[in-house]
Amino acid sequence: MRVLVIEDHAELAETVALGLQREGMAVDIAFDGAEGLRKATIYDYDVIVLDRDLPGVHGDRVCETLVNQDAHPARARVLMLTASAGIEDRVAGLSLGADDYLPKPFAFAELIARIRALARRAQPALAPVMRSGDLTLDTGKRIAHRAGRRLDLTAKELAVLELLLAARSTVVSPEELLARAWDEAADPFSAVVKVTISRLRRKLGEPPIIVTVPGAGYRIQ
Amino acid sequence: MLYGALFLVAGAALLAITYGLVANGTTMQGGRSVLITRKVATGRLPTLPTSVIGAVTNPVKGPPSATAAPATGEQTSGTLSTPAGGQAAIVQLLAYAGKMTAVFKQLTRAQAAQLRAQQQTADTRYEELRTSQLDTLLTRSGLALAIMALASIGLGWLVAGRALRPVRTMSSRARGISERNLHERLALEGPDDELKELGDTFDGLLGRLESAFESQRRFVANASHELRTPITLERALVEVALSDPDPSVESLQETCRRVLTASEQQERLIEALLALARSQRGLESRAPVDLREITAEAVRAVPSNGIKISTDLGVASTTGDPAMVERLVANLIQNAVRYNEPDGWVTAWTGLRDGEPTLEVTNAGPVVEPEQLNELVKPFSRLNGNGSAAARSADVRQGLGLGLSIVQAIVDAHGGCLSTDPRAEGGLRVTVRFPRAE
Repeated sequence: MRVLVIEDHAELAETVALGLQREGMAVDIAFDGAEGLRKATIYDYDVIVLDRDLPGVHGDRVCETLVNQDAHPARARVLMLTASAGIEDRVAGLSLGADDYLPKPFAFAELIARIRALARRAQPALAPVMRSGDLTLDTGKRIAHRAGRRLDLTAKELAVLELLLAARSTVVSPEELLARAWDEAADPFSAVVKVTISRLRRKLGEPPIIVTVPGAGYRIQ
Repeated sequence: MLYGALFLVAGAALLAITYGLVANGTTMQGGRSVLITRKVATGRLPTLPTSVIGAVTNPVKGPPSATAAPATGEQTSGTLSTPAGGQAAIVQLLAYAGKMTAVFKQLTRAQAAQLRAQQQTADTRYEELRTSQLDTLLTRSGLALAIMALASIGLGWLVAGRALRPVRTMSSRARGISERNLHERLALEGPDDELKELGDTFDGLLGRLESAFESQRRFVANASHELRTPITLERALVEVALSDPDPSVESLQETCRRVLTASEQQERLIEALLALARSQRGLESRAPVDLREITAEAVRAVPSNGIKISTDLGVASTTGDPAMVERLVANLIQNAVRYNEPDGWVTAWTGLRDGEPTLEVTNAGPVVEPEQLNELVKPFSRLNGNGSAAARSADVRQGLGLGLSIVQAIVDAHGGCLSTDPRAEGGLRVTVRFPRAE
């Protein structure tokens, strides 16, 4: 899952990014509205965590732009994270097109849960526990089982597995995997995707679940 | 009602006086009643004996009819020619006089008694008449008074009611206005008289109250909004540290240090908010304030961060709260240093301008738009960077956004004047004029 955090308070933005990364998300940061819009145009995000009080372009305008310009059903969901906590503020924010609203100060666990809930709203909607054959992946608990046996996967491997399962046996290209499970710091010319897929295959064991489609990408069998 | 009551009282008084006067003027103590009619009693008077009449009327010749008088006991020889006859005549006359006197006495007595009786009757009748007339006077004027009183009460009620209707309207509308709906007004229509003036004055008061309440509400909302930021950061820092799968002493210590910095920022924010509230309350007492000395001290104390600060301090003194003025000068100098450019400069000038003690702080820096200036004095606004690294520098982050609003409040409390002018080359010039020291 790839998340963009748009927050002008640098220390808070970095702390939130760190916490989300620990949860297996790929996180990018923007310190003002203009930069946030720029990154949202370049990269595909599952969820955008947006502060309303931003210098430059106000958070409300950012939200409007994000919601209106990208009518694609798979567009990034917007979660407003802001100190404006009153009822009128919440109603106004949601009416602008935000998909969710979390006032500050917030409990980190709630932020994570809400981000995951928003990501599930892709079409078609996804269940929190994904299955394929004897493989189960609990996206909330970040645990995968195969034939009842618990798998020891890293955060990145879990993220890639989640993306493959969400595609429901359609092909996912390595570029897409890179875009959605890694942040902007990843080097697109490295073999990091290939390495991760091979490690994942090894841990998943027999019979093989992930199938390589030459020239296209990978898919779940 | 009041006028009706007054009318009633006046009328009753008038009635009482009239009654009293009439009653007084018609009592019998003063003079005789004019209703007495004299009736002369006619009684029978005793007749004079004929011999006496004859003797009196014809003293020489005897009475014409006395010649053939028989010799009865009547002593009728009465001619006045003889002394015996004369004596007898005088005796008879005297007796007659005596009889007459007795009769007159009787008559007089009877007449007097009759007159008294008549007088009494007349008096009684007079008294009756007077009483009945007075009663009629009383009842008729009482009735008239009652009718007039009612009429005047009714009329007074109507007229006063109409004239005072605006007052009633104002009362009922004002009763409904509280701090929740201060935007409502009395809005009296009608002629341009004193009552409308009263209503309009009241509306002006409501307007001022509304804006005061509004600014206070905004302030509280902004303050709580601002305080959420350090609180959120502290919480996020601690939660993320706790979720660390592999914590080390150093990483935990680092987290603690960062939490401490965040709470220090919180403390500074609360201090600044309190200072703002205190300044807005006004001055409690006035002490001498040496602007020159305070500015010199502030320049010494502020960290310059590589910015060149120069001073040109002339004599300038005023009266007020020295602590507040110190904070004012410190804020201005800090702002000048903060919103500056690399290798920039700041100058501080104090002196008298038109007799008024003045402080002027000028700094170099990025160009400031005039629209931004109006916003700057409002609490919690900051000059927005444009995403450049300079705007994100730690110094700017340190800014609480309250500096200039505190300065404005302190200037207002001292009765002074604050003006901010952007420089064409970039940067700002802030001028504070205090009133002449007395």
